[in-house]
Amino acid sequence: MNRKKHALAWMVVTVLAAVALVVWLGPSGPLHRMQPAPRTPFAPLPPGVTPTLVSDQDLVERAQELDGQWVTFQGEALGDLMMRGESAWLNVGGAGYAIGVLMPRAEAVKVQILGNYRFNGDTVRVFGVFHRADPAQGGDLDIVASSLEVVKPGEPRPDPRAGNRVYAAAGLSLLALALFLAAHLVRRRSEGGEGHLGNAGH
Amino acid sequence: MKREPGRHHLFTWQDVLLGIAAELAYPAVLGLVAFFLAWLVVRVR
Amino acid sequence: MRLVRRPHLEDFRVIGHYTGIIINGLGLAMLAPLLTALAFAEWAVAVDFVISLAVAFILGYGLLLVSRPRRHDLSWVQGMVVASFSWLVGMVVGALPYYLSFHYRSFLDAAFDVMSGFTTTGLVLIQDLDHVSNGINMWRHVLTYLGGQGMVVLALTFLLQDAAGAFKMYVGEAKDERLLPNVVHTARTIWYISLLYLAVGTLLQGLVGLSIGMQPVRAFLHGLWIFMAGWSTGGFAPMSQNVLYYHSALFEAVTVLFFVAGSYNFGLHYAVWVGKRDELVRNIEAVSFAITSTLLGAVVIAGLERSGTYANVATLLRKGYYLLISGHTTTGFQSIYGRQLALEWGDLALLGVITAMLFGGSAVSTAGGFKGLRIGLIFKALVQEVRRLLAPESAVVVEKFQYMREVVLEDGSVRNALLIVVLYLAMWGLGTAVGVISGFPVREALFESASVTGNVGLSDGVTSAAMPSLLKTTYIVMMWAGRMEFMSVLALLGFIWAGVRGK
Repeated sequence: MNRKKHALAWMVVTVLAAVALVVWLGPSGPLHRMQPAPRTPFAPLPPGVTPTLVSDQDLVERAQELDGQWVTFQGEALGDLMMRGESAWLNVGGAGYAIGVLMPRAEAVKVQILGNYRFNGDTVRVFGVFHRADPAQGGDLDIVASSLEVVKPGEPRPDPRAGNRVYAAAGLSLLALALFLAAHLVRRRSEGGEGHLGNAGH
Repeated sequence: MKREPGRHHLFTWQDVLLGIAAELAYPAVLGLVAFFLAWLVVRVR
Repeated sequence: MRLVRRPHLEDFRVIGHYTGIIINGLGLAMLAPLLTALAFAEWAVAVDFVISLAVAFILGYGLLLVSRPRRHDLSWVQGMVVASFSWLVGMVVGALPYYLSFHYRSFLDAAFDVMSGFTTTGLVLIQDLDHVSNGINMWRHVLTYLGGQGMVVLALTFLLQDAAGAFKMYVGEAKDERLLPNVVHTARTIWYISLLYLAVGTLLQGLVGLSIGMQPVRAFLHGLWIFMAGWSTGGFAPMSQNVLYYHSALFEAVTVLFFVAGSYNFGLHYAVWVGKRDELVRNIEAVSFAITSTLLGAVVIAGLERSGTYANVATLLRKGYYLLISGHTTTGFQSIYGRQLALEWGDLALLGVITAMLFGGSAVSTAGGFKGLRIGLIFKALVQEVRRLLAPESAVVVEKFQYMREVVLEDGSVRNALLIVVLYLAMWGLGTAVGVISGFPVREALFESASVTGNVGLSDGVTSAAMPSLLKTTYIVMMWAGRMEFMSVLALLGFIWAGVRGK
C-alpha cells in the first residue's frame, strides 16, 4: 500500500513538473520574458574607444573592474575551435589562465593550429568586450571579440626525447618479467596448482 | 544488501533501463526545483 | 587494546601479499594510458608508462615473493591496514608517470595529484594541463575512476553493511569475519553497474561534445574522461578551465545527471536496479540530499542575489546552483575560475557551499563528506530526543528510517555517526589552521579545507603549486583520512602502535 502512495507521489510530481515546464517555456511564460534583449553580438569597436591591453591574470583578478570594457587580449589558441552556427568559441591561453573567446565564424576560421600535446597553437590577438559573467552566455567569463588576428603561427612542440629512458624501460621490464616468473614458479611449487596474480578468489 | 549467490545476471534489462531513467530523473527534478527558486528570487528582486 | 594485538610476522606476510596484489592491479591499470599513448603515437609518453608499469610489477611481484603467508584469509584489521597502506604505496607508484612527464614541479606535487585522483577529490597541481598528452590525461581520469570504485568496494566490504550498522567503528563480533568472498562478489556487482553507466555516459557526453562543435575523436575522448571524473565524483577535467572550457549549458547539465547518479549509495543503485524504484523517494539519504541541496541551493541563490554576482536566472543556475550541486555531491566540477569564488561570491553564498561540501554525498559511494546517512541519522536522533522529552516517563520512543529496508534507529548508530562527524569537523579545523599558518586569509582557508575534507575539489585559488609543502602534505593526509572515513587510517596507526608498544 505504501508503494501505491509513492507511485502516486511520483505522478503528482511529474505532472506538476510538466505544468511548470509548460508555463515557463510557453510564450507567455516567465522564461520568455527573461531572455536577455537580443544584442548585436559582435559590435565593432566604437569610435574613440581604445581597448585596454590585458593579461589573463588581469581578467580574472580584476574582473569586476574590467567588466564591460573593450580589451585586447593575446594568447595561444587551445584545444578546440567550437563552431556553433554563426559564432565560434575558442579558448585562448595566457601564462596562467585560459580565457574563453566568442567570435564570429568568419574570424574564427583564421585560426589554423590549435594547441595540444603536439603543437603550440597559433598566437592570436583578439579584441572585444570583456564580461565577468556574460549574461547572454550563462554567466561565463568571456571576451566577445569582434576581431581576431593571428600574430604568430603555431608550431610543433619540441618532441620529448625518450633517450636513455628507453634503456631504463627495457631493463626494468626485464627485471619485472623475471620477478613475475619467479613469483609464479614459487607459487606453482608451493601450491601445485594454477594461480595468477594472487589468491583473491580462493 | 541481499545478494543471491551464483547468479551472474542479477538484473533484468527492463529494471536496468527504468532504473537508470529514474536515477537520472532525480537530479532533473532537483534542478527544476532550483530553477523555480532562482526564478522566484529574480522576480522578487 | 584487544582489537589490535602485537603484529606477528604472519601479519606482515598477509599485508605484504595483498599490497603486492593491489600494486600489480595498479600496474595493470597503467595499460589503459599506455595503449592510449601508443594509439596517438605519443612514443615518449608510452616509454614513461612502460617504465612505471615495470616499477609497479617489480614492487608488486617483489612483495608477493617476499610475503608468502601460510593462510590467505584476511582478518578485518589486516584488511584495514592493507587498505590504507596500499593507498600510500599506490600513491608513490602512481606518481611516477606524472613525474616523468615534466608536468609537475616536484614529486610531492605528483603524489598530491595521485592522492587527489584516488580519493576522487579533484584538486590539481599539474602544470600546463592544456598541453598534456592523451596518455597522461587517460591516467588522470582512470585513476579517479578506479579510486572511486575501489573505495566503494572497500566501504561495502569493510564497513560491514548491515543496514543500521553501516558505520560501526567497533566491529567486535564481526572482526573474525572472512572478507574475501565478499570482496569478489561485491566488486562484481559494482563493476557491472559502473561499466554500464560508463557506456551510457560516455556515449551521451560524447554526443553532446559533438553537438557543441568538437571533433569526433576529441568529443568522445573528452566524453569518456568527463564521465569518469563525474561518475566518480572526482572533478578532474582534461583542460585547465575545467567544465568552463566547453562553454555549454547542455554539456554541464549532462554532467549533473551523471555526477548526481554517481553520488548515490551503491545499495541504492542495487535496490533501484532490482526494481524497487521507490527507494529513490523513501531512502533516508535520498530524502536528506533532496532537502539539504534544495535548502542550501536557496541559501546560495539568495547569497548570490545579495552580492549581485549574477544578473539573471540562467546565470544564477548555471554558475551558482551548478557549483552548489557539484560541491554537495563532492564532485568538484567548476565553471568559474577559483579566484572568482573568492573575489565575487559573497560570504553568504560561500557559507552555503561550504556547508554543502561538508555534508557531502551518500554513504558507500564515491562521494565524501559527512554523508547523507549521518545527517539523516543525527536529524532523526534529534527528533527522537524531542519526542522522548514530550512523552510520558515509561513510554518507549522508537524512531525508524528507510535504508534499503526499514531500520530502527539505535543509539549505537547515532553515536558512531556523531563521532565521525566530529572527526571530520576536527580535520576541517586542522586544515583551516594550516591554511592560515601558510598565509591564506581565513575565509579562503576555510573553504579550501572544507573542499579537501569532503574530497570535493572545488577551489577558491588556494590550491596551487606555489602552496607551501606543509599545506600540500596536510591536504594529502586529509584527503586520505577523509576518504577512508578515518577507519583504515586509525587501524593502520593502531597496528603500528601495537607493534611499537610490544604488547
